[in-house]
Amino acid sequence: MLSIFLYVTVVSLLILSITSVIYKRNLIKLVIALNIAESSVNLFFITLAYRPDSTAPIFTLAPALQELRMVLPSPQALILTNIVIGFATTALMLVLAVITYKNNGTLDIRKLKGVEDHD
Amino acid sequence: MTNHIPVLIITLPLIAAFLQPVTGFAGFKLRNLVIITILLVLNGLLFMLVPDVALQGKTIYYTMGASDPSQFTQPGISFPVRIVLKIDSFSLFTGIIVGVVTLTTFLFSTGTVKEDKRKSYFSTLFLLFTAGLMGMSFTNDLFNFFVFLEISSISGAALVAYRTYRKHAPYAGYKYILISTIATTFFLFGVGICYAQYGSFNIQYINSVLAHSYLDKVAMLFIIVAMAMKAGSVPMHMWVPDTYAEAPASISAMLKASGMVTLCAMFRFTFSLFGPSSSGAGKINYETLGWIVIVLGVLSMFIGVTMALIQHDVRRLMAFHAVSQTGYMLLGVGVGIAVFAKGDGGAAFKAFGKMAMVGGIFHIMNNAFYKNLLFLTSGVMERRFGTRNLNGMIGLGHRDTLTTVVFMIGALAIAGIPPFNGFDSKLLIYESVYKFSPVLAIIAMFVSVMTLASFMKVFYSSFMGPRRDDLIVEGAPLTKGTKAGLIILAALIILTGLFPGIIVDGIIEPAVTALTQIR
Amino acid sequence: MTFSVVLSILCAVILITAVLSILFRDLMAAVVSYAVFGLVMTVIYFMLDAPDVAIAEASIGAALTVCIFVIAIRMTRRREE
Repeated sequence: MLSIFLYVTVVSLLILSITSVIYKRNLIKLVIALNIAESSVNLFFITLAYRPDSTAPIFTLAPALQELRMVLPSPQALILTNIVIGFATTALMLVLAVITYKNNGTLDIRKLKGVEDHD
Repeated sequence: MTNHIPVLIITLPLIAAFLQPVTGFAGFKLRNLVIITILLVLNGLLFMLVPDVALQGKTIYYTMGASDPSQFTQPGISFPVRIVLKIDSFSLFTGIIVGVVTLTTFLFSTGTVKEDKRKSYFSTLFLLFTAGLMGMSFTNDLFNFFVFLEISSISGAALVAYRTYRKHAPYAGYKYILISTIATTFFLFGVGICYAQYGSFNIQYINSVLAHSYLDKVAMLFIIVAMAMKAGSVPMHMWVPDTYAEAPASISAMLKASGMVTLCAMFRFTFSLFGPSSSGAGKINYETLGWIVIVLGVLSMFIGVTMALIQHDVRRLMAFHAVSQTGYMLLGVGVGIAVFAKGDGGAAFKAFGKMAMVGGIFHIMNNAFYKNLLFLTSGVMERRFGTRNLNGMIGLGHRDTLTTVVFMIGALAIAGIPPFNGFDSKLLIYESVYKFSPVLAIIAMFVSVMTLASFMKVFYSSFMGPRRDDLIVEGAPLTKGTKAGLIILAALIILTGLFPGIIVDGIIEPAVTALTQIR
Repeated sequence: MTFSVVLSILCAVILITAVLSILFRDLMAAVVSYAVFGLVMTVIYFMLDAPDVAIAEASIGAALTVCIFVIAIRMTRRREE
């Protein structure tokens, strides 16, 4: 029951970001949209790992060994990787957007279309 | 030592990449020598695996950090818990493509890519790209595949935008990373759906317990769409010409190799991940999937070649041909997929389906070689005339004999003219596809003729004609490394074209067998 | 019970901030909205028993990313054309 909210959030965030990637024209806005897509996938993995009435996967927090009940640790470890990768992607995209602005004087995709007629 | 080869193949370029700032101090010559040695060692390691893996059909596993790395599962546990690398004939085939392309491309780029003194951004990113592609070929773990995909796409985007002083290069890099990030997000979503059901990231384990539920089909859709997007198949092909045109010539060749590796991964996911499982539960509908792949392939072929005919920019023309050639591979393998699980007990698959797949997979290798060669020669043309426009090029044949000969070899190979390797794989595709559906074979031949026409246009307008030294911007002769890269690729094309039997029996046929065997 | 109510409210906040960060024509406002999105995401991770992910998201996702966004916007232009 609880996870339905989360899954609905994940799917709507993904749809929102993909639609805005298609319809938005500002290069920096596209980066924000992609970041939202990445966050939605992160939330998806964390929701997968969640088990009701259990503790965080840190050993000292476990109440007692015989009734050990933790959320799944491996998706959380993977999401740590994904957050860092997402930061790298964001940084690279922003750098490229800034250089594009310096070379062309605009961030609008429609005005950048002149690339195709380049000799 | 010998059982650590799989992990050495991935870690060697990774270590070398992070050594670059140090070796860069020793000057260009020494640094290039070190990198070429490392790439040669890489190729040597790959070919050391050929007798065991391809000829005898063994499968090598490498479990990271285990006491006995060659075991698939660890003692006491019935399923794999660590990252497992897997080398079967198919992934070895992918690795060999990456190895050869990387070596020749780096040889070429030693003479053409200029770097400021003691800076080694290019070689660092290049080696990271290599490590990412090698990892994508060999890993058996879905999340690990995602990480290597991200490594290759981040370093690839930085390389596409390498010449930031050019007006449009950063925007091309932006496009590449945009499409890669969308693809990797989709891929990770599909992986998450798989993990939710089976609790593992290991491809072989997931396949052995696959239930073929509705959710699996959704996951398959996400993963296949992501791979097709990165490979540049038709509905998502619009980034290909823009990106390939603005990148340095050697990086266009590497991007092509990256597309080939993604395509191979797509076929691997179709068969090894979502293929018929050993538990015998349900099946995906191979005929529908095959027809989807065939339609995508025919559209790619046709749209790619018709768009290429009207281009005036030599690199954009070649990029559209890259889309069109991807169509041939999709067509060949698609026919194989469509008859793979037909109701006649595999008779159709034995009769022509397997040959179609051999043709498609062989075409991946041939295409990697000659497309690489063509991109590299276009780099020479661009350097000489300072422009990519065909209207501004004339009479290069008077100056650069080697480039002319090599370009002719590449152009004839891509058009499928007999003594070169493009002919062998295209003939296999034509013959087998004709038995499946004659119309498709006729379309494929028609596209081949149009390819020849379009490359004759390039040859006529840039290499023939009067000698015009006033148009030449940079007249310095090619360096030894550049020549070596071109000659190795041309020799490989001719050798593969003259003796296709050795390659097909030695590498391609085992690869197809490893891909399609039902575990 | 309170747990699910709070979580569903946070999900709604996340959706609203995501939509706002897409809709704002002023890029700085969009980035601030994205920062709120990251912070609420951090709280959700913490409630779903993932404290280490929450720390990483708070430091990298909410703080560092917003920093480089602000730098990039200051180097280009602020209004979306």
